[in-house]
Amino acid sequence: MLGERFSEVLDAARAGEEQAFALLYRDLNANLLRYFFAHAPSEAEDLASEAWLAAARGLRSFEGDERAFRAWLFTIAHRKVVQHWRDAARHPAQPAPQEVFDAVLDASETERQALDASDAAAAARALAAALSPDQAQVVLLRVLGGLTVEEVAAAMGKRPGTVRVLQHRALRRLAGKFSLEGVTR
Amino acid sequence: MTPERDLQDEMHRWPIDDGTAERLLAGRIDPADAPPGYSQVARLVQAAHAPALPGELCLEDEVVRKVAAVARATRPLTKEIPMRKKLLPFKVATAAVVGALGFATAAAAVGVDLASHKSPSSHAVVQFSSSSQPKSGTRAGGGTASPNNVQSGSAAAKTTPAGPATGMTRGHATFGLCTAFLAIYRTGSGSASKALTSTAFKALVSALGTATPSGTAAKCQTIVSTTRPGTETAAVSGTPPSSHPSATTHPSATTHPSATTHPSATTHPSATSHMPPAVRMTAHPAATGHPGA
Repeated sequence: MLGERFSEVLDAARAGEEQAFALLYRDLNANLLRYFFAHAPSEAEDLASEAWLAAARGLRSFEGDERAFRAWLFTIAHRKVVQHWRDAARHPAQPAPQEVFDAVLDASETERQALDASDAAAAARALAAALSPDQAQVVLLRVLGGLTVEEVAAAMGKRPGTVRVLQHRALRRLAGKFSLEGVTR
Repeated sequence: MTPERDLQDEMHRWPIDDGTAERLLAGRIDPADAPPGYSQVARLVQAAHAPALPGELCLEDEVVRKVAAVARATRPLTKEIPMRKKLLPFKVATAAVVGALGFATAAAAVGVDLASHKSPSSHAVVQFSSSSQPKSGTRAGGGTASPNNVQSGSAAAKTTPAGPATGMTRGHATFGLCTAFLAIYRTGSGSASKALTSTAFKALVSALGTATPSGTAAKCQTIVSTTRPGTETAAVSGTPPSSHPSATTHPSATTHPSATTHPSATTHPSATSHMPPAVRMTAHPAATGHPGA
């Protein structure tokens, strides 16, 4: 968190000062990257870069405090993910060999890695893998972006009540899934 | 019991209130203190909240450089001017043009001669009534003869609609033709007498209602000496025959003190090109006896 320095940093970033962007990047990029890694592991770096570029283009139109900036950046990230899914649906990639697919994207393996190694990105990936896309969006925007229910609703184009329902169902689903795995282990 | 139904039954076992859910998602619940069934979830959430690792910032230099360049290239926001405001000057200009054209049209309809007021030195047009001069549009002294309203006598000075009247209305044209006529007439050569029979001078002779070149010269001398180009004040002494288009100018021009010495009278192209300076404004012997001279 930049705290009271945020407004100066934002002004400097608007003027195109690299130092200001470096501060913002160090503060927010880790969670941004985890968010993208949870949704699209192979494209996470590219999507994060695109989100930063989009933020730079729209920075002059942004108004608000640090919290609002964080919510704004993750709203951009959410749209990038949705666009990525649409593009992937329109232009499906060549299917990878099964063994590669299993090694890279096996959810249970990722969960085990997350639980064992506590790797942040793997933890985010584990949360998303256990949920439906909408539930995953709600949980990750709340956990990684720090958005409120209302901010998530605005970002996703849903009503706050709908977001709360999605959030409760997601948490119960996570509890049920990981408790069962813990028992079965 | 299938695993799915078993899972759903398990899900119903872990109710969670809003406050706990908020704290859980914010990473503020320790896995050991989490509600039953949520310890692993709390652990995952806390893991996701971990500080940035070096590998997550490895592209910082590259990304920051690009992003800063984009921010610098982005133009500052300017207050967008509504399209209707952008078009306002054009609308005003269009309205002004339309208004001016409408005024000119209306003025033309009622017979006001705007051109004579606007441009004193412009070439005027010899106008003939359609009834007395069927060949309207003939070239007169190099100018265009166009059908138009014709004013005569004192009415010529007025700007009231005259309708299809007779005679010349433009002092400029009369002055120019007369000056040219006099210049050629004074040369007295054979070619001059031929030139005086040209179409332009025929129109002049016809307009003045004279039968001989000397008579035309006399009347022209009167006009030249009393007319100041730029005004419609040319006095013609003697009333032309009613059957002829009459050369009429404003009577007040005869008393204009500068009429005979107006510089433009001596510099009219049609006059200076043919007339020696010494004889420009001198009265022709044939014209001195004319009542109007």
